[in-house]
Amino acid sequence: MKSLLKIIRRYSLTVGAIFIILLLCNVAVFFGISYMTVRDAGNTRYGRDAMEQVGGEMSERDGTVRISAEGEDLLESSSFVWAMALDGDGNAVWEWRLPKEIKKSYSLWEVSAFSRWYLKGYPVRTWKSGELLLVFGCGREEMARYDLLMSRKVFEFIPVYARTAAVANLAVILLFIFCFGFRFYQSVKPAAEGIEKLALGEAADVPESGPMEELARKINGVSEKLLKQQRELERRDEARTAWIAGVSHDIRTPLSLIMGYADKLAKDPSLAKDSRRTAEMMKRQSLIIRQLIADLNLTSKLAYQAQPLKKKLCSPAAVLRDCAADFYNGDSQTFTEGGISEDFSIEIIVGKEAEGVRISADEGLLKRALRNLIGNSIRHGGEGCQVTVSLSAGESEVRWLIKDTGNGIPEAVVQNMGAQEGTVHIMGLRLADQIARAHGGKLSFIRRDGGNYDAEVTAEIPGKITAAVPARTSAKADSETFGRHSGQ
Amino acid sequence: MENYRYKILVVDDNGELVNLIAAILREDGYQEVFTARSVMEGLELFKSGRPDMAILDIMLPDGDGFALFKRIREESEIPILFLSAKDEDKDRLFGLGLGADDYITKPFLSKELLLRVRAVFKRTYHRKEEGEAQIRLGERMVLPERAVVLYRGEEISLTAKELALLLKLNQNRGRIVTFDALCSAVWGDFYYGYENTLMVHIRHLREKLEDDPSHPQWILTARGLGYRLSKVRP
Repeated sequence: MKSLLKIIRRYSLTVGAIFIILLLCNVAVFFGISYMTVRDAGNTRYGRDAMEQVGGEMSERDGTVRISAEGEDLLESSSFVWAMALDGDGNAVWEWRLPKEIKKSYSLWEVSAFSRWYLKGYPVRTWKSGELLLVFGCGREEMARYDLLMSRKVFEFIPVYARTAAVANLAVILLFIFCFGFRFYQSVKPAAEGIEKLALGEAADVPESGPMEELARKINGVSEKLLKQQRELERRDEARTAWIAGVSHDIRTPLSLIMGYADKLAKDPSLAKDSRRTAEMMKRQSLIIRQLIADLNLTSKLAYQAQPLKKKLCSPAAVLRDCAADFYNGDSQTFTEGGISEDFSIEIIVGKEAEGVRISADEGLLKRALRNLIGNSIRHGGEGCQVTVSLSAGESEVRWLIKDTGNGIPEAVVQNMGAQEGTVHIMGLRLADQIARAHGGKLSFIRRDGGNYDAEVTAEIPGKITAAVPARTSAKADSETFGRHSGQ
Repeated sequence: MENYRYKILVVDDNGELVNLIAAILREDGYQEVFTARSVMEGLELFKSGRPDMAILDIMLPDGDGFALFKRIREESEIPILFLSAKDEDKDRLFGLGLGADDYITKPFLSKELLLRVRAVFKRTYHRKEEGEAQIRLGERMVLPERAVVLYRGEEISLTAKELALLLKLNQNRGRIVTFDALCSAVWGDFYYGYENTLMVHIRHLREKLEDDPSHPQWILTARGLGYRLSKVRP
């Protein structure tokens, strides 16, 4: 919406600028023409120069007023159509092409009238030459005369009027700009909102009317197309998730039979030791298949947002300890029935800051991500290894770093993580990554000196939530530590 | 083995699986296991056999396990477990929401099934009869109802918190119980900051239960994780 207002502002400024430039141009042209006209009026055929020169060519001899040949030429070349000279009594003592309707004797008030106005429809100019008053008649169709007489006050206030008028004009211009801009904004607004909705993946639904009708129609068309594609994608995702769920559902019952019979055979004392071991292996492999089915289901649900997260406030340290305890206690999900072998150990290091942090998370899923990563370390830990999980908390995230003294995660696996279609071998890691991402974090790999990698999972801390510390009892603490805190 | 006295009804549309489950249960001592493959058959067997527990599949040829559950519940309060290939949370929650005692998803391990069946039987039939069992730790005997430890004719009393901790450890005997689970059992969900207090209580418990509290043999420390109540003296 901000960008829309920006467009409107720019639009208004442009309109304003164009208007002001045009106005200035017009004013410049007007004054230019006026100046030239006035200048020319002084110097040319109707100007005072012509009248003065003609006056200079007049002479009186024996009571008769004459004009020289140069004076005649001047009159010829001027635009005056007639001329006459009046003596002090108002009688014409000289004339040049005087029309019949022009009389030859004038009273004082008549002289006063035509000197400011017209004489029989002719615009007239007068010039005093000696004791004579020269009267020049201009062409009726060529010249016009307006006599201007104004109050002094009005003249003095002309600049004020001009300023006021300029301000008023500017205000009117701005009002128009605002009105047009607002109308433009109003007409563009639904289209802009429609585009915003498109970006959010919602139906645009722009009213197809007004000046933006065509644009609205096109946006609605695009919206419909996009929504159709989205629906198709969702349908495909749902179908894929349902297919995976269906297949895994159908596998479960036969797998129960395989696991059950393998278990029976593994415990059957009448069988040879090798056969019982084979049955045990079958059972273990079945457990792996079971885990894979569960992972496949979850990964497809997380990928297509079909798995709602059951978030609640939980302690990341408690989740980690619970997960590690599962390995020691023996859990079929960790493939460690009867606990992990003595050759393996899991060390938990919880930073003091991290101990008090609470995050909003799906505890079950977080535990599953950690289980996958710790289990990965144990499964690929050779004859035995120590897995160390350090939990630390930053300003905006908590971090579980899973290291082991075993082989670590090979380069090929890390490279494969980025591939679109991962193999089942890395499904556990992929799932851990998906779970971390669902919690605003990620799974990353930290290169060891030896070349392979350690895993690190992060999860977002919404705000900064630290559990309240209750008043301690005065009892003396045991020498044991509650978890191993880093920095101790 | 005293499981022989319980009768179990197993209903699943897969004949082989029903037989396998029955065989697993029988091997564990449950002599009377009735098997059915449909809702109707299951209902008839329930009425005629009066089982002490029912294990029901959800997808059955003539209806679903939820409907069968409701029919059984109309007449009896016996514990009922769902055993299903449907592992969706919504199915699990629906089943447990109906009042089922447990929900096991396929595929399952025999041991897992047996442990859950045993736990449900224990919860349903033993608690009222036996109350909270005594806890034997070598020469010492803990009587939870009286919150005392009996040792060579002496009675050593336990505080409420010590008893709560011991009971939590005993419920998971042989397994590591995390600090968090122990604190939560004693102080509820908002336990942060009680770590040192927990250690004090554990030290006091050891003083009352161990021959040499500085070298404990029963309440063992799982470094960085929690404590474990040993099943046998190491």
